[in-house]
Amino acid sequence: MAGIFQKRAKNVPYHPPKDPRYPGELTSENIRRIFENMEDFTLRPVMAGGRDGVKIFFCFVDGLVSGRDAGDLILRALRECPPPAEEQAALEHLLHGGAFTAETKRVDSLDGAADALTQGCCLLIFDGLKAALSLQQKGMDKRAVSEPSVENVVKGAKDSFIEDIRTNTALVRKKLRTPQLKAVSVTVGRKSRTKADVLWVEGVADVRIVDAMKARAASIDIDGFLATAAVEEYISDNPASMLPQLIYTERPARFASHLLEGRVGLLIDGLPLGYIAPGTLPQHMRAPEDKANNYVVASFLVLLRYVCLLISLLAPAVYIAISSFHQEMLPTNLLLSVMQSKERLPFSTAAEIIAMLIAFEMLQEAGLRMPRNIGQTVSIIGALIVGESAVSAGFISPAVVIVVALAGITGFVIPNQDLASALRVWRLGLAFAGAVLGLYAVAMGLALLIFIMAGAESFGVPYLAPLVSSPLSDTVKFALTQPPLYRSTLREEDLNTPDRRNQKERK
Amino acid sequence: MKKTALIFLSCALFVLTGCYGAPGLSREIDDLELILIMGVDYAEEEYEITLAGGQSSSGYTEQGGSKTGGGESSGSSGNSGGSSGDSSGGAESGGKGGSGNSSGSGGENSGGNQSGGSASSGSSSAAPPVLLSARGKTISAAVAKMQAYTEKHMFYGHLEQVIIGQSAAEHGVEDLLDYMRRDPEMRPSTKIYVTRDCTARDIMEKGGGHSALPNLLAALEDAGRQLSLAPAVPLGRFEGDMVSFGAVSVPALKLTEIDGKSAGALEICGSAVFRENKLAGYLSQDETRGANILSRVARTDMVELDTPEGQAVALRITETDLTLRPVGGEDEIECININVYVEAEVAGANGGTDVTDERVLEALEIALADKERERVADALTLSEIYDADFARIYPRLRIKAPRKLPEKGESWQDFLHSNTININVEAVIRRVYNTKNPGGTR
Repeated sequence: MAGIFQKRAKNVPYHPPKDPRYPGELTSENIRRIFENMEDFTLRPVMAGGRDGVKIFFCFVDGLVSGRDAGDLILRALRECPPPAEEQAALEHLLHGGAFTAETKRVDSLDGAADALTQGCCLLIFDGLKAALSLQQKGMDKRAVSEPSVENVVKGAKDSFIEDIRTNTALVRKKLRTPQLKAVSVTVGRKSRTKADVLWVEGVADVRIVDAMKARAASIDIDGFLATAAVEEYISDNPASMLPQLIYTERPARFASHLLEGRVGLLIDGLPLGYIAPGTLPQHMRAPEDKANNYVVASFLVLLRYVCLLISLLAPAVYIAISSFHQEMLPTNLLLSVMQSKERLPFSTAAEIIAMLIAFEMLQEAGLRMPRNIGQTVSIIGALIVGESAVSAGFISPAVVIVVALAGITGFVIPNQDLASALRVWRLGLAFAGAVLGLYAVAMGLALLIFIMAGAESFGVPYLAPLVSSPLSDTVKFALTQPPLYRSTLREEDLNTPDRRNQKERK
Repeated sequence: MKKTALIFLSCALFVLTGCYGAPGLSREIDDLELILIMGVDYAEEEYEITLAGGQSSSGYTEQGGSKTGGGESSGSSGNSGGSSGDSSGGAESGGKGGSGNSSGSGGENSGGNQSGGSASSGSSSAAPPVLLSARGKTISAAVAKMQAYTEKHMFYGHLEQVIIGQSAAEHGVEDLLDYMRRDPEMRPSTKIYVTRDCTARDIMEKGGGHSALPNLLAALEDAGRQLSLAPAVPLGRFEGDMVSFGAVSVPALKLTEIDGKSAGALEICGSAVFRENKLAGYLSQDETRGANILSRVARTDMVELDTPEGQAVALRITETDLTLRPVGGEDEIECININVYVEAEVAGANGGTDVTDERVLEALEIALADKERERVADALTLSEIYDADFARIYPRLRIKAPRKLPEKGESWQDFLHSNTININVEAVIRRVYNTKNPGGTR
């Protein structure tokens, strides 16, 4: 199969990136040619310094730049500019404070000019100098910072990332007001020219993880970098694995908290999410509010999540295995109850469970994709038909409904939905295994899952760290419980942070 | 490539074990006939096996049963759902029809094959037990015959109790133990009971009445534990004790009688002593209590005693302890001291007896000590008569005086004969108060 794909791939020639992408001199004519057939592109001549001034060209992409700001801050500045003798003087004047903009840069290439325009800058082109000034406007329309839609918290900051990367970096900086919070920009996507910022706290994050993140972001050579899945696949160590290897959050507070622990963040323009690496299994089992809760409650909840993970993964498979192969494992009275509920049903237990699991997935998927109010209707119909009618009609046993519902509900307890989704697939696989060869096959399947997890890494950190790589005390502290914060004086060892201590040692 | 090979090999493990598709490997849960109790009787050089199963959580469904081989059929209860109809639906298998009365309605079975399997499954909770019965020269053969009575697979993984009829116990349980060791579905936790003056089949047919026999036995076991009667003996311990001590006592069941007729209820009438895999004899309830004190199994009990004024007082024994002490020189044991400590509280006093009166209490304590001493002495006497150390005294004495007592050799009877045994019982009554004058306490 791989051969077929390789053959086809050979027929499509590789198109290496051009450098420069737009050859030629930086003139208004060339810019006009590059941006031709663009209704929202505006280019017009203006006189710097009034009627007697120098003729330059003012251009911007409408929508990316606020027209009023462009008029007020740039055109007015041009008019108020003293009549310059030549273009060079006008450029120098505007570059050094003549324009009322926050950021003014000189651009000497067509590539730079095109990038500046598409990033939302105004451009003043000096044809005689074959140069231009890019003037950054900060007033572009964007969504207001609002409450997180998925990671709702009772106790904690209510702001969430939006689609604008600069707002997002600012939100993080508001949490970490230190110049040690570094942010390096990488532009990704030949066509989308998406900005991605790698963020880390200098002196806390392992330099190797920072370098790896920068290198992976820079090495992405695709046309567009638009979907969230694309980010994860290009950044992850093993994109083929179903297991999520990056933590994502929509809360700047959580993002900042991870940066402080020594992880490295990635913000992408256009995505209201922040990515954190390395993403290990214990981190995916953490909920945003864990640190806001009392440590006993939080520890109980963390342990509960692990129990739920096991139930969600194993309940259908173990039920099939026990009811088909190992009936002696059930207590007698329970077995009698199950037998009674299964009496005279047409399908085998394995068929019932697997069909119900698939039906459950369908319902879940339908509920997600539908508009919210229709989704509710789908859920109600699904619950009634699958839960009630199928049992009454004698298609499936009530015990099977209980097992599948238990597996489904415990799956929702897992905070990271990517992990929960991966486990859904594994759950189905293990159920098949249980139907084939009982607990032996379930154990084999589970061993395979552990094998895959134990072999996985995220940015050089074992996926099961610190469960497998640290002393028991660290495992309990960083993976299985939420210790009191005043006692968590050290950062996780597996992150190789140059500075492990995070607070004054408590005596 | 390596990864692909690894995944392929992992998948292959599932199907290349040689077990996949093996007959009987996977069975649907509703294709099982759960066997919960097995009765073993022995007559005319044949074993008669009676099986009771259950398909509902609240009770049993009824099935007729019969023997298909060996010449004579022995049909059991044939009524379904407690109605009075005959179970004549099955094909006759030969011989004379049995006439086992069902516990519910007294219908007569015409000796047909098992017929009610599927028809009665899932019936109401009031249905009496599923009963299947067959005979054979070996237990395995008898059990195998019964598989033909039901379309479901008879599953012994949940066998909770094995009731050994008196005749089978007297014949010896070696064959039964052999069968249970060989059957992979049997559990070592299956509890062993022996019947007294009736067959196992009588107990299974009449003993449960309309309630579930396993539940009834569990209730009896609980009550027996509280009264230090006869603790249930699991199969594993039965075999272990038989190998280690050569003797073991198990609870004895009998049907209660009123005016010489069976009242159709079960009771634990003491225990049965096995020596060398055969029934050596029975112990009464008091003797069983004495044996349990000796083996340190007994803790609690309820005793009725009379005060000097002739009023009955119930004492609840809350604590029982025993120490064994061999006394003698360096080479020989001169006597064995058995010291028993019993602690009790007043559970009830008839006729307004003032149980805070020290004179009454002392009399009660003496009477209690005498009763317990008598029980222990009776148990020791029976131990001598049966030549069975069912209270496991000898191994405990050996631990205390290993050089004076040989590991094996002289029999328990000889050991008892050659040594004097002193039984000292100290009885104390605590937590006494006068219900008429709550201030008066001990």
